[in-house]
Amino acid sequence: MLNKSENLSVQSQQSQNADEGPAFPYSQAENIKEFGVASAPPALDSDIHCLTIVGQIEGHIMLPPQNKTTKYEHVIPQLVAIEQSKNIKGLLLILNTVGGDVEAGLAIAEMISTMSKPTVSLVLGGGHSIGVPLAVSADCSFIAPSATMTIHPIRMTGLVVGIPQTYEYLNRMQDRVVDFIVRHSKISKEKLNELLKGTGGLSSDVGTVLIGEEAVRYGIIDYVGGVKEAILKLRELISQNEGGGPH
Amino acid sequence: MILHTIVPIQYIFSDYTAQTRSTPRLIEWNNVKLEVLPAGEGKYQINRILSTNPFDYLNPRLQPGIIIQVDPKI
Repeated sequence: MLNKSENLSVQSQQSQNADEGPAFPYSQAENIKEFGVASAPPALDSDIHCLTIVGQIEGHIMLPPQNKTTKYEHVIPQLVAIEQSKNIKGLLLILNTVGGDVEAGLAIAEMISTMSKPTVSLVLGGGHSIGVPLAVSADCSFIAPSATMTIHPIRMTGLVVGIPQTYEYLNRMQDRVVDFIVRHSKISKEKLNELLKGTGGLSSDVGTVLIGEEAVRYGIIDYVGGVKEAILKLRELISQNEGGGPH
Repeated sequence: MILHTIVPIQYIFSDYTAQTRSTPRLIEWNNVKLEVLPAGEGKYQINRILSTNPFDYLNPRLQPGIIIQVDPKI
């Protein structure tokens, strides 16, 4: 049985999907048949798309099931769709990640940094390791006062040949991450390298933990704030993008 | 592969060899190719979307983890 509000939501979902290929021919009533649930997720009226990156960023190797992961092969086409969609005007990137695959993390970060639509990132909880390039890839970045970012050098897994070239290779891989962060934030390469090699900040590794405001002070993140500030900034960027001035 | 994470490697790969996943299979559902895991009688859980249409990846009905019902072909 369909009530009026459900009918409306179906219509709004269809109109929202108008530029996104043919709509699925299922009405709300068929959700029980198709999905085993009484209602589909409600249709979003928002022109902002929220992309959450949580847990490990999974790259070329599938991680064992106890890891909570964000899969890059799913996120990258989503970003393409967001870039192309007529309805989505801005992207809000929410980060609570412990890091993960360097290639996958940098791939997502490069995608976000080259989007034409306004992007704002918000670090909640943690944005560690490869989460740092992701946080700075947006046009404007926010960090919650209690959120942390761990800046530390990359490591290598698997067989490592103990030759000077290995060190050189690791250095170059580290530079990919460092250069990306330097390109997209206000921190200098020297300062970032200093944070990377800091001792005394972590119990079993070199590196530095930055909490909330500290990340802003070092110039990695733009502002301290929460969801309200992030959305406000995104709205401002959207109106600038559309040719109007800020609110 | 280079993992850049604060999580110790031994936690990430603690049961790397354990066979806890069932084998995924490929199906076509509403003209979208999906990699699915069996989830009971005629039901599948979406593991991955294999589509060249980027909007399939934003479709709320085609997100990984969602259970879909596939009618048997008569």
